[in-house]
Amino acid sequence: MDNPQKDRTEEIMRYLDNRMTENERLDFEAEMKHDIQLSAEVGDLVMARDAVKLFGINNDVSRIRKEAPGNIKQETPVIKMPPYRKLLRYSIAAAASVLLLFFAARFFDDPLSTADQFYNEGYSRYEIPALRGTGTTLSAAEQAYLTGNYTEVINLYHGETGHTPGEMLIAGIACLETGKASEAIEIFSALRDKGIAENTNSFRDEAEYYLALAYLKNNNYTSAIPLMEKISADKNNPYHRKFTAGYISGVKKL
Amino acid sequence: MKEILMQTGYENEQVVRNRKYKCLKQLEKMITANPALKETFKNLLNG
Repeated sequence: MDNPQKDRTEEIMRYLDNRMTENERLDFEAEMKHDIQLSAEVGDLVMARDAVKLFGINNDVSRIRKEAPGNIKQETPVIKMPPYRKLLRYSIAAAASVLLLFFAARFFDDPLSTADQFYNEGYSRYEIPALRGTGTTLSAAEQAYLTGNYTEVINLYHGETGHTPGEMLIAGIACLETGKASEAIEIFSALRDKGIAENTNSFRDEAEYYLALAYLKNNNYTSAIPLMEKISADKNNPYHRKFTAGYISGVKKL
Repeated sequence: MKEILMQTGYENEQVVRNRKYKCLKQLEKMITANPALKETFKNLLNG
């Protein structure tokens, strides 16, 4: 007695094992096109069979690798590519970070350092005229100034009243030297106003020159620039070469 | 099949084929019971 289910199973087995003749195979495939259930069943079995094959191939590859380590070494360059790429990638990232830091540092630090650079470029330390040092006794403030004891110069200035223009000037410069720009501005402004009030030019050029630098040091560019332009335009001013057009243009960009 | 027959001691090749089919069928059921696994296998085998 025929068993259709057994025949169908046998047919599927022969198809999966490639034991069908060419005509049988074509007929079976034609039947699958019409029988969706058969097609699905054979499809799933083919997948299972191929999964076993894949598992077998993977096992074979693993076994060969274990038995012949030399073969693995031959493949090593290909395997080592990812670490190399990683190294390259990290190197590029590191280089980019350094560049970024460099540009960031320039972007953020330049305005400050440039202001300092302008100050240092424009600043000249006032020298007490040699004539004062030969025949005349120097004041305590002047002696302190000559030795670079700026704190003492400032203390003496605050401890006395009725300052001469010379004492005011070196006190203002001592303030500049010790980073007290605001106090320097007050002293140089007072010195300039005193000259104007007394209608004398004594130390007025010096007062304006150091006042401009004190404004610059204090980041008060709007007050510094007009003074610098005034000094630069006055060819008789001994400091007019200090503030060139390029220098003032640079300060304007701060 | 002959190799398997020699190593397993089944009666004949047909028995081995039947055993193989049953194993395959069992594996197919395991795979189709897990749609995600089935999809993974499909991608692996077709891909």
